[in-house]
Amino acid sequence: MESPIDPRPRLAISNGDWVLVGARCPQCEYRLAAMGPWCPICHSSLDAKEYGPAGIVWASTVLRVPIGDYRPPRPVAYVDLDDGPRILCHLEGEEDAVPVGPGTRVELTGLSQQGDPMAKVTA
Amino acid sequence: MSGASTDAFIYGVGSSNFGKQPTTSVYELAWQACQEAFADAGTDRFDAAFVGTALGALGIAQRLLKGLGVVDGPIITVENACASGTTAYHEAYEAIRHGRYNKVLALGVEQMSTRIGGAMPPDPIDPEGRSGIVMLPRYAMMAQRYMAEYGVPMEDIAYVAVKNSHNGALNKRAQRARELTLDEVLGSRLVADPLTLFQSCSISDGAAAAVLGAGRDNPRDIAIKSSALVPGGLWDYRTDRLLGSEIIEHAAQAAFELAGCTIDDIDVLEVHDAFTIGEVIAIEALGLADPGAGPELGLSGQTAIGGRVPVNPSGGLLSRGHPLGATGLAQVAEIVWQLRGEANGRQVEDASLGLVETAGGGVSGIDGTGCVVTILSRS
Repeated sequence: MESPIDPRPRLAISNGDWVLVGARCPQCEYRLAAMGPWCPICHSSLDAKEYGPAGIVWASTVLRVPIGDYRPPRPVAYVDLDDGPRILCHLEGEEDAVPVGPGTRVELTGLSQQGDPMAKVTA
Repeated sequence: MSGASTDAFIYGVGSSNFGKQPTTSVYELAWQACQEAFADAGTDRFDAAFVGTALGALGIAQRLLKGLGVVDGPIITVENACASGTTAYHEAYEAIRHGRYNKVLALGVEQMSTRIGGAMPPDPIDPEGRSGIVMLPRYAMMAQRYMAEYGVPMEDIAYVAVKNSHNGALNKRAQRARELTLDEVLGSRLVADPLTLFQSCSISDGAAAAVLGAGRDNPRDIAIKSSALVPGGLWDYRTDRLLGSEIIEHAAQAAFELAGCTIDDIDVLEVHDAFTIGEVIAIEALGLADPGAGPELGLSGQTAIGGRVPVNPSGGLLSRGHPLGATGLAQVAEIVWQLRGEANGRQVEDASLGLVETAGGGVSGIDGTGCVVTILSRS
């Protein structure tokens, strides 16, 4: 049985924008995509912190083979949210998707039907 | 670690054939590897056994070794993703070095074809795994980032598969034992841009084993100059380093320091080329080439058999296949054969010092589950 606990980054709407509900260390300012037991760098208690919606692509690819329940083509990217953590996002894209280059500006657009963080190119 | 005093040696190695072998039992694979290693080592009694497997079920090591009836001491199963086999080897090495045991079996084994069709399934408890992410898209993203950062074209990275397929065609135990042209590599099915099918290792079944022990004045034994196992650090927004780059660098630094040598002293290497870009990352992190210059080392023939510093004379994971837990010990076996002059048809001339690097991955947010670098020498 698949765990009912979803480990993926949690997104929410804040002031009309999709944001990541992550965490931040008040001592060393380390940024996390999700709450943890404490800061993995300095072991201080963490604060909840929202990040996004804007960010920049660190790298991306388009998956051309099925993986698990996911069907191709499937554009995905590591996105560095502005002043935030790096998270894995699925990208809004068409059937003829080509990979988005590093440095491309994107923003969070919500969750996919399968519950994955989604982003789209903004510039 | 300080305080150790016993020199450790490899007495013998063995390996099954690698490939999709669903009708060969996992027992048979392990027995083939062990019996070859025992005959090679001239012994079949051990103080302990360390068994590396990434997907093995409860009691797998005990089930496999029961039939051989040769282990009188503890049997310890270790899991470290793709580096499970080398981690078992490393623990065997440390046990001998510290005088805990005198003679130890290290076995790596995996049967994947009977449980996996197509690509590796994602891990649903991992944040990226639950999003359908496995090593393939991660390596693909590293290739894209590498090409953008250094202006290296895809065909230069893909050449790794051409070189390794040439070597693999000389390796009777390899899964993909056929020489490929650059056109075939680039023209094979795109699996995750920019990586094509022939730039990706295969799901595979196999086992490999090594018998390790303290010195016994046998000139066939291969001396373990050093072995280092390091964990992956956090990999996040703070770094622009490619996944695997720092963990390999750290393991290499530790292994070179302990062995008292440098990359310039190494004559032959087996590195973790799960994908073409993986070999590029590895040889740069090991210090064979400057960042961005790894592909050129292959294109200029320097990493070919007969070149200045041959890399993956076995054909690597790309040709041999990648039964996760078995891979590391297959790499160790290849270097042992190379150092003894027993690598029929693909022998590197006058190799006296060899290096193995295995990097485990698959946990999001860290630079790898673990990396082992070991340096081996003719006695």
